Amino acid sequence: MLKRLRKSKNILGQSAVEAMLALPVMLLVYLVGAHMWTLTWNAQYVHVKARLDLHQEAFHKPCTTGGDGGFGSGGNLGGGKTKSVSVTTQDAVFLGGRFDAFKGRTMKAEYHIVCR
Amino acid sequence: MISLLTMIVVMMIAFTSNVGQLVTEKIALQNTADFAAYSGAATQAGVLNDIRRHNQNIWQAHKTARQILQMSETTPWPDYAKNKCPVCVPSFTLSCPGGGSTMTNAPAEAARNAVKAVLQFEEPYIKGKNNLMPQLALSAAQSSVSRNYQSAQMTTKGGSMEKADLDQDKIDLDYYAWGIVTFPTYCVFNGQPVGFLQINHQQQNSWFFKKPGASGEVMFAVETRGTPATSFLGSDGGTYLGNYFGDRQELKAYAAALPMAGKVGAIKGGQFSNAKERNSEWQCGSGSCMNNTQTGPFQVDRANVLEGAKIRGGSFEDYRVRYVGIFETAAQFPNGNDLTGSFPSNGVVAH
Repeated sequence: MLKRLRKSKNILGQSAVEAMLALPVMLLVYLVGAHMWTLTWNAQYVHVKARLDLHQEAFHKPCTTGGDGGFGSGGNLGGGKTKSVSVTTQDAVFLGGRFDAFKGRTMKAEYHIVCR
Repeated sequence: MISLLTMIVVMMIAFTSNVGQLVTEKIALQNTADFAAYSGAATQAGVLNDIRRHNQNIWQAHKTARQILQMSETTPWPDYAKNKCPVCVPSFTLSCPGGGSTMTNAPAEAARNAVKAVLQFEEPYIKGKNNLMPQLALSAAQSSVSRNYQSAQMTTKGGSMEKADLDQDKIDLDYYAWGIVTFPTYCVFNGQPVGFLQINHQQQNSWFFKKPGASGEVMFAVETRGTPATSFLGSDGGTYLGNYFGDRQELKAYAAALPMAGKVGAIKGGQFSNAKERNSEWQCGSGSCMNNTQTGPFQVDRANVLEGAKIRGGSFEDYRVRYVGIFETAAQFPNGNDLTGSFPSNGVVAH
């Protein structure tokens, strides 16, 4: 029974070589996947964070026209120009930043509210 | 086997990337729509506050004028005071010219003219600013879109390009004046004409206010459209792996905002309450708020009656901005068929 299941030495050798080669390849593929996931996460993070920050800054405030800044309770957007926020974040660095594709990069989102 | 696994993992990475990229673009486009709507509504709110500020000048002119005109009730009124023009005084016609009609009065007319001068400046300014408001809001929104998502297109929706539906009333500017009756009544003592007290009646335009229940209200709703970059393993022409992963289709996002909680000017005849948007009208008790009577003046109007209508520094607030609902389709916009939330379907909001 065992004798029938036993594979030839050639086949065993091939499997060992394939497994040995596959390990770094699969590791690399998973690392790429993780890197992609991080990029995606950080890209969405900066957009959502910038949105939140700008809304918190604006918070119901109107534009200023006619040179009046006397809004009592809520204030105004100020200057009658643009209110903007910018959010940046650094994504993770895989493989020690050895290859350009895996170097950490700055993700940035900037949003504006414009007054006239 | 390993090749197959590698292929599957690569495709998983591609899908992850594609979905992530698409979600990121959608977030950016939605943010762009939101801030475009906010920019438009914040500009509208700023214009309405500017109108409100200039309305206050009209209100102040009326109040000051009434304070002066109210002095006619108490003697001595500077030029033609009661004690200078008593009934049945022989010299009456000499010291009180203008026989047979209501006499004019220099301080009173100066007060009226001051109101006219303010109206002459403020009325065209307010109307002009109101007419300009849709263009200003559109310009702000477009500029916001181009800064936030350069390739996105924007279309306004609902009543975004409408101006405020403003109205005015008339306010009494009356004063007591002495007149004389030359015929048929004569003073029985000396045969001279009889002097009498009467009201010199005139009205001027009031400040502006938004018509209650007016159609055509101020809000700003937008649709933004943008096409994200080509997908991972996709292609511009769909000739390569793009057939499998799909080329990018145009994304759409919607947003609407409006000025809220403010008031351009007090509305006559309404009842004031602390509600932010509705019914925050001028408390008047009974009858007309602005004038003592609906049909005609029988007494000089009180200046302090206008205090309840004080536009700035009183009970009414400056405009602020808020978002309106969540929209997934164009049909849910004002003037669409299926608007969700509390925003009225015909686009009418009381201010």
